[in-house]
Amino acid sequence: MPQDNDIADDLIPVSLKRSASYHSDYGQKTYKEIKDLAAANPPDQKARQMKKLIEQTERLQKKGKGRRS
Amino acid sequence: MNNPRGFKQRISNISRLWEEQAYDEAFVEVETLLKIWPGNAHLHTLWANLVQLQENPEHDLDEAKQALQYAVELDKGSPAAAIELGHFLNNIEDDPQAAAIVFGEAAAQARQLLVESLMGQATVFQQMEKREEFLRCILEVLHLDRIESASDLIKVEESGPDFTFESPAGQFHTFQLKGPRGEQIRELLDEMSAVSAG
Repeated sequence: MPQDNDIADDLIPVSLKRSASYHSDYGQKTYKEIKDLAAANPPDQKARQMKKLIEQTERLQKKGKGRRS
Repeated sequence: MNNPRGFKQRISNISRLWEEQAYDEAFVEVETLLKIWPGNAHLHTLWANLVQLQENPEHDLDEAKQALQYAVELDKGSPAAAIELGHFLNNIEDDPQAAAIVFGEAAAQARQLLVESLMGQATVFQQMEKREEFLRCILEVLHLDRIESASDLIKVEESGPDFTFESPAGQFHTFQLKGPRGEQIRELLDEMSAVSAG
């Protein structure tokens, strides 16, 4: 689970950094900074896209947990 | 390895590697399995998900998307791959319009599977004369049916007559029983009433 003070670049895998939704100029922002920018009015589009990449990563990482039979 | 037991062991191994965040190694395992089971939708979904998590990716995101689309085609009755494709479209491609369509299709498939499971369970409970469990299943099916009907924009003349029955909680619910499923439910309710009366 990403923490508020985690740096975006540490949360997003190299593979997803090749997405058009990745913005390197936001890579050194913390997760909280990105969430705050994404929730601003009007929302910061780059932050919103970066937030989605972080959430997708977390979602996929969780898929391995507790699936062993 | 191309037997169900071997397959299960390899899938379990992939899950262990995934849990350990050894995504590149898990990916190699999935690729090996895909050579043996190329028509397995679940493996294509795993492949696409692992491509996204890799730190040393050899495949691009378009290939991951294609793998998810292929998985959807391979297993049209299951919503699992469609759900992953929906997340991909929304989170990676930032295309909520396309994602909404795919999620809608996945939800319809999931609802259909749930209805089929509940109808099967209701039939069994009816045979076992477990009235409360039976009615709970029927009630859930009818609620799901109502959701489906709302999205289908059913014409008034196609609707069946109202049907009221009492749930195990003692509440009265009114539904319209229509189509083959409505017939099936009415039949089951009649049989259950006959058993209860007897």
